[in-house]
Amino acid sequence: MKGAILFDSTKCIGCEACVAACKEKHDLPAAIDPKLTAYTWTVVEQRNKAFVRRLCMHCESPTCVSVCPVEAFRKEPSGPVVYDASRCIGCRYCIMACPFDVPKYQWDRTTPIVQKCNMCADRIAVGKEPACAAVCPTGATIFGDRDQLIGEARVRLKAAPTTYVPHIYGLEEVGGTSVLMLSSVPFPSLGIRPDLPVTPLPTLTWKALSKVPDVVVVGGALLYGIWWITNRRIRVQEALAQEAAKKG
Amino acid sequence: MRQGWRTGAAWLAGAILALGGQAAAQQLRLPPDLAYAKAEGSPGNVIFSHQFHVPVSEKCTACHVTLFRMLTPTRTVTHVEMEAGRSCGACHNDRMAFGPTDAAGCGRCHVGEGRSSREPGTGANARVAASHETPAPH
Ligand code: SF4
Ligand code: SF4
Ligand code: SF4
Repeated sequence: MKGAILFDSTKCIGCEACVAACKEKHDLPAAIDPKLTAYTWTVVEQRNKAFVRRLCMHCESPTCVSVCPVEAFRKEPSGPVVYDASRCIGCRYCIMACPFDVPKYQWDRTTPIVQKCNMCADRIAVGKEPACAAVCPTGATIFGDRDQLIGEARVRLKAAPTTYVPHIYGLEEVGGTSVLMLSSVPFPSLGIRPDLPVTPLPTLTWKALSKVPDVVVVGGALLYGIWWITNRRIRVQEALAQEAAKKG
Repeated sequence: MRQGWRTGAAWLAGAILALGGQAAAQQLRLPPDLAYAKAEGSPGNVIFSHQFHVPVSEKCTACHVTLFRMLTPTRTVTHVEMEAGRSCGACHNDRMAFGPTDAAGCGRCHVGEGRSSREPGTGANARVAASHETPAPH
């Protein structure tokens, strides 16, 4: 099964149970930032009298994965796009490349890492649904097999054609996403980008860039870069180890 | 401070909405009532009802996750905590909502065994049962 989340804006009451559950699941600080940050991986925004969630869309062909030079980002066959801080060199290409402005950097830390929703991959691995889907009291956020959720979305559109705009967001955008959305108001008025192509974005990015000869990166700059990256990796690993030790 | 304001506003809204909101809350998929274990000397089990409290606030974040965890609600509540303004005491402090010195007595919260027999039970099992980790009905 390929896991996916279906968010139906018409059912959402803006209660933010999803936000709270995400905070608890990932041991994030309880304060809820108004926008996505490294410490708030999902938010509920009110736009045009409708509520809309922001979270990683878990693209089928994720740009973040393709631009990452060290494969710190990975698309799992089970759906989630996950990030491995121990591989990350802090280049932040992912942050620039994501069409949905999702990955966020810990700007306030000395050894920052990138953070974003990971679809609760560890919960999915043991057969649980993501924390946000588990607590949503209205069924606005549900988890399931992507194909089945697409079927469910089609059933809803057909059953209430006057309620919904006739579109499943994420079915095709950027080659498809594992977060699908339904809405009663046009998606742009929810602040969701209407301008994305239905083909995957990645082809233009890192893999193409990496073919450019490295002549621009010369001498000291290169050596310094290598030192900085190595040093940073060590420090991040230390920080992660410390945190792990703290948690016991 | 922001939290205090929010909770306060939530309570006011709740006082107004409590009756009307009750019907709306029925349709929500909420955890079953939560039976807290009875501490020594306690006059009776405290049974927490989401059904009853949800109309008090539009947002689950009024209590979650600052005051109560939702995936693993294994905690117990003590009056010492409440006096420090934590857990139930964030609202049930005799100001925002009735508190420990309420004229109606302990029984307003400590409903005791008589009522708990209709509830999922007492102790650890009941607390697990009251987790938000209910199987998806979809
Ligand atoms: S939404 Fe952004 S961060 Fe999430 S998978 Fe797609 S490209 Fe990556
Ligand atoms: S899937 Fe998990 S990480 Fe993503 S928003 Fe939901 S709770 Fe947070
Ligand atoms: S928990 Fe469900 S209803 Fe509440 S804000 Fe999140 S998606 Fe909307």
